[in-house]
Amino acid sequence: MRKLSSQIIVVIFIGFIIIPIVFLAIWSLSTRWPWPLLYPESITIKWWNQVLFESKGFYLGLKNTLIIGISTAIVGVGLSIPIGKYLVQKKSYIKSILEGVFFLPIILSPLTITLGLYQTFSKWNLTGSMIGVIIAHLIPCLPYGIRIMKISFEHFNEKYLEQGKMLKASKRQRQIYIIFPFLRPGIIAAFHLMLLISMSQYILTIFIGSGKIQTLASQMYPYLNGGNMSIGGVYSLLFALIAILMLLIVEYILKKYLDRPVKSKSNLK
Amino acid sequence: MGIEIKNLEFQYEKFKLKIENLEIKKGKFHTLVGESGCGKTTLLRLIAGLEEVEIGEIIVNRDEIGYIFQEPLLLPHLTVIENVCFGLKMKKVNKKKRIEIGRKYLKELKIEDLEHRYPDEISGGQGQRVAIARALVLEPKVLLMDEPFSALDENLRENLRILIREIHDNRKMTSILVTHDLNEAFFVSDTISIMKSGNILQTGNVETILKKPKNSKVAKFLGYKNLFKCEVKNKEMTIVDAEYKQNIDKKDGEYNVLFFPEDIILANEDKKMNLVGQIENQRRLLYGYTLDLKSKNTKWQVFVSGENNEYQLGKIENWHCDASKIYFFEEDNHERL
Repeated sequence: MRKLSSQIIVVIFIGFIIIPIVFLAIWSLSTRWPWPLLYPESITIKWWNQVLFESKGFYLGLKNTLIIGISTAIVGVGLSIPIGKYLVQKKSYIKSILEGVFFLPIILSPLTITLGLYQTFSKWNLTGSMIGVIIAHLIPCLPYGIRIMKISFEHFNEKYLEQGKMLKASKRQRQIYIIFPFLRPGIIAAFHLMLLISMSQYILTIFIGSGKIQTLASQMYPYLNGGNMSIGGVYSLLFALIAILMLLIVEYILKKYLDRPVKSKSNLK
Repeated sequence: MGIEIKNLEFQYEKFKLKIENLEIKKGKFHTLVGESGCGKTTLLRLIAGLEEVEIGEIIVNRDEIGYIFQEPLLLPHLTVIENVCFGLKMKKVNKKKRIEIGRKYLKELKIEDLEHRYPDEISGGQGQRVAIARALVLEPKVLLMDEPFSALDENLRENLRILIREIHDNRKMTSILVTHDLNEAFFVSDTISIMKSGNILQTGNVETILKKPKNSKVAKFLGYKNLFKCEVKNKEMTIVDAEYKQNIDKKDGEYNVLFFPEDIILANEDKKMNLVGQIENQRRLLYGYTLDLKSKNTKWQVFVSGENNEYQLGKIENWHCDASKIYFFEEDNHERL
């Protein structure tokens, strides 16, 4: 039974993840691939040349994507930590309501939120600006960041702080040497997730950026949506590669900076 | 540096901690012993400064306190040596110096081979040794320990008790141990405070506590079974609901009394019969036997030393206890037992 369920999972993985990637790769190398042909008419690398070497749009989009994504993730983590901690301390009715409010962005329709944000940001002259887009990206990112940090704090044993106090650690020292290492896995997970969510934002970027802020997502989707599928394929594969690369770089930097990871069994109360 | 507590009151969840006066002399090993939830950990935390004193006074230099918690609470992202040196790092001692000091304490605790391991790679007993080393590395004058051995098996506990007592003696510290284990308290302590429901029932050295429990609550906590209400009339003592008679030089009245198990012996020509009791049960101990007797509606416990057991279950025997050995409580003479 276990073997069958493993096989089903593998099939699903291949079906929904690997096969679309393979199709995108083929599209990115094809001149024409009309229905009902099983393979493209011919293979070419001209679309890759066009995106990577002939057009500057890709690099502008990449630059903006990274600036917005990393900024959103940094600010998002910075906000999620104190909010997550606050939600874990002494439960109350108000906190339960607040928690619900924090999660509204993922419950409500993205279009509703986007239109409301657009109207507000227009009044504040934030539309068409990087800061406006970064703030807008925080809206769908924060619920996940807060959730991850809340869970991290729930698993943190306060007695470690008492032990630190008895070992003459000041409040700041306790934050740096005791709390921060415990939160590290949560910080990495929250950073990764918020970075990926920000990189994938299309509607928010289009509306709040007002067409002036180009990101990889805002450049890629029109091609995939009935435009040039081959260029769309190139953008998709590059987007995936860059996302993976960013995750590896972030993991490396945070691991180097934040000591040895805390293993889960030691973390539990 | 000793510790003095005066008129301390602390409201904590279900009960109120109330300590009128407690003094722990410098260099003594003092134990707070009592059932779970009686307030001993709360008192220890108040002394350490982990809880704020609301009413009353605790006179102690908190900068000189070391604290060992029930769990080792080793930081899992640090190696053993890094954990031991943590306090020195917080005091900004340079790395070379603190490693040197840390190694010295690892050697003293006989765990030098664990230096580079992480906490999830060592056993519970080893972890507690690391926690002890970590507390000692700051050279505290006062060492507070909150049931540090409770999670360990008996062999390990005994080894660590001996170790902690040695460390206390060598360093001439003032130590306070919290435990619910009486044997542990008797093993390591100079003085003991017995606590119940937020109050200290009695404080004293081990001999005093054992031989002169202040009242029946203390006696019950110590596990004494032979607690009875008696009546003295015309120099004759009788125990309610037992076949017991004793001539005694005491004023007429009602008293609460304690019979020590080892003081009840078989009656003979010289030792006049005071009690008639049937042997219901017997248990072998290391150096003798405990017998459970039934006399009318009361249960008695008798301790007989020696290898041979001459006592038959079910047999009714005559027993004797010297009047001088009967213990009359100084307090609670009219309290219900």
